[in-house]
Amino acid sequence: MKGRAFALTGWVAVGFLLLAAPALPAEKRLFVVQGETLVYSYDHNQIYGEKVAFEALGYKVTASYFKVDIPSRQALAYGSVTLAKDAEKLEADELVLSLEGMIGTLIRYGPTIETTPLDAGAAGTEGRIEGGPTTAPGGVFDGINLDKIKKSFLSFSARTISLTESYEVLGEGVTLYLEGLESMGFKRFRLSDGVGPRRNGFAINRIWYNKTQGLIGRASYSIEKTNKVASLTQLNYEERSFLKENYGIERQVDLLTSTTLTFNETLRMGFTGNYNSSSQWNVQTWIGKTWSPAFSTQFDFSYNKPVGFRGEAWLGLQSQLSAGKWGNLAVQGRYELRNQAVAGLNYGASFLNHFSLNLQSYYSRVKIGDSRDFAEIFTGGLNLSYSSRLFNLGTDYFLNYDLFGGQVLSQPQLRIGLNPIVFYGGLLSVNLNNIALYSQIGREGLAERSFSDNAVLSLAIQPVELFKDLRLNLNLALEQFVEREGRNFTTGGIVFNAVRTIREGISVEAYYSLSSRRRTRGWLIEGTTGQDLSLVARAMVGEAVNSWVSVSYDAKNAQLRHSFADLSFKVVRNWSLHAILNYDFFLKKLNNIDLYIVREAGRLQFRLIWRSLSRQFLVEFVPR
Amino acid sequence: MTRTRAVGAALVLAAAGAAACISFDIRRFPEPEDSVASFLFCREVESGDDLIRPAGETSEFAAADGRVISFASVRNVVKSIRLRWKWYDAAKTLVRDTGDVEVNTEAKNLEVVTAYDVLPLEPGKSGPGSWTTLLFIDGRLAARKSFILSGDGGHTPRASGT
Repeated sequence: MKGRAFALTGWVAVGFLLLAAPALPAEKRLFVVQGETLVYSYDHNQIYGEKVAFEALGYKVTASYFKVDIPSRQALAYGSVTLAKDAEKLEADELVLSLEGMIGTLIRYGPTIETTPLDAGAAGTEGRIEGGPTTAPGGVFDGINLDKIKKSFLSFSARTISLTESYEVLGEGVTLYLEGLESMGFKRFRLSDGVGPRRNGFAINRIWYNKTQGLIGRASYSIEKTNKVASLTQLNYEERSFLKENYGIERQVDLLTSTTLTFNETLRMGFTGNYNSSSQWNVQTWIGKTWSPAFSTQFDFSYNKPVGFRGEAWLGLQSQLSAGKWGNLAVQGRYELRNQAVAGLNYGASFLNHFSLNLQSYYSRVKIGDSRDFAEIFTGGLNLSYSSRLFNLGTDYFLNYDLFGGQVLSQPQLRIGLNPIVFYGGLLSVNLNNIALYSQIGREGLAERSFSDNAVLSLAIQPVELFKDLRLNLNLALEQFVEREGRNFTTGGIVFNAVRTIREGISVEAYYSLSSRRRTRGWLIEGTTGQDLSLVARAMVGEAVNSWVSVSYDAKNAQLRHSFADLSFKVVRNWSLHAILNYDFFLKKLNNIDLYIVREAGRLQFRLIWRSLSRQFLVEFVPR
Repeated sequence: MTRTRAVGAALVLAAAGAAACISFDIRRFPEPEDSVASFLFCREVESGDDLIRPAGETSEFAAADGRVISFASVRNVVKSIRLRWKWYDAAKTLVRDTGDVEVNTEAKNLEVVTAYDVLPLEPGKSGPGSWTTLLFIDGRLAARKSFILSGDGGHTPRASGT
């Protein structure tokens, strides 16, 4: 118990320190900006500044205003912009920065709008001029202002903000605001996650604690060299030993690594490895060669060590051939050093405009547990289909041959479907489908045969406007199922739907459904009939209300059955209340209530949830 | 009990460890002076209480509309400031410049100042497309916004109200 307590103590302390510390000191910054006013919205991943100074493209830049939209990777400095480098001094009304590749454009508003790419020579080696914006950028910056950032669920003000190459936002002299209210101050803080994974180096991605999972830590190490090397190693750690109600393992470590080396456009090699602290691990290395745009091959070797069983070493080869109008062929084979093997072939082609053919064949010879016996199975499938404007026809054949058990399953199938036929200018639509299936199981000279046929006829009437605000809709379906054993079913159903719009956004809908299922066996006819009448009231008023309530009535037994409600109201700012209720009239009991208080916060959603069934209260941050 | 102590010890340790990094000086959300709260286009302006308000906000106009109103609200004005509008047509040529207009000459401490400029449209005088309007405060570009003019739009500089 003492050990657990110390583990908890240590991890919480380490977690806090890592959160508060500048977690990623080594990565190159795209810019470091200081300003009299400097704020960042976590919800929208945007920066706004006033009276700022920063360095970009080799210049020292000052401006009255500064906006950064990280999702679109663009920045704008405007209002008396000055750029200084040695003796050179430039002035403009705006400096537009495309952060991807750091491309700069200066804009001056004189008698005309004058746009000048920031000269690469003047900017030294850091700047480029290719493809810079030629006109003033529009909407992306219009939406960034102090008010919007203040209204964020999570926002920060800082003395200095820097943006890394991985688009992580780091701050110094930081104050955290929750709903615009000051909450806590930090000397240094990592304000956001990056847009993508870090390009190079070590990162603490997540340290989190919750009551059911315990303490969770995620870290990663990545190396990326464009078109040469891409490597990502992730370490996941979960500590549950100190949890009051922990019935599983005390801790778990997962290590996942994946590296891809690109030698040239046609030759690539990779390595993946996974380790889990429950003593299971696997590694795989592969090499892929593209011989031509139509033909490629991959060779791989893998070793897999499951829990409680011996490890397996597999050698594999896969090839793909795209032969244009002659179809596509894929072949794969794998061999395990203890004489296990799997092989597969897949061929697909389309011809004569309306026909398509697909052929699959697989063979496997794998060990049964740790015994000396092998399960040996051959499966094959053939599919030929024809489709036209009026109907579609398909035939399938499936074969499963258990070579070890000596059992053969053979199953041909015929499908025919009439494409929907419309009458009376689209008012009425009719559809007919039929599937006939035959199967034979053979074993030790004995054969078991069966067949079935299923036909479905459906008829739909398009919604009809009866009066100004009343719309009717009707659907009918009839199904006949026949099989060799004589269990024949006839099923029919009708769904009638009427919608009355009371005023814009408010409507009442009525559904009536009648279904009947009859089974005939010789002279005996048995079956069931069901009826359901439902009323639904909907209200959708702008963004403020989006709710519906339904009541279901059993017309056959003349009694109310149940009621569902899904109520959603916008309360204030971006907070909304959402409730889901279910009442059972038969049991006279409120079966379930789910209550949600939701804060929409840009790229995340904050939820407070209460669930009556599980009596759970949950707090969630859900990324959008 | 041991668990409670452990949690307590963890919190103390964490607080001690992070003490160098965390401070508790409470600050208000930054509210800089002369900050542009809104800059938009509308068809009308309405008077209400002490302030004028925009009505019929839009970014799409036709020559037949007769005019485009550029409406601005500036927050935390504590001294006299100079506002100036510049209008550029779709060919990026300056078609209207209000020059500096002084606001809050009595240097009152105002929470919000609202002002607007009007670009009259006369059919047949200028081409349609994306027009750009700029707001300068004390000579510095403080806001920029574009609107779409469809059909023939024209301009005749007239006296503007701010």
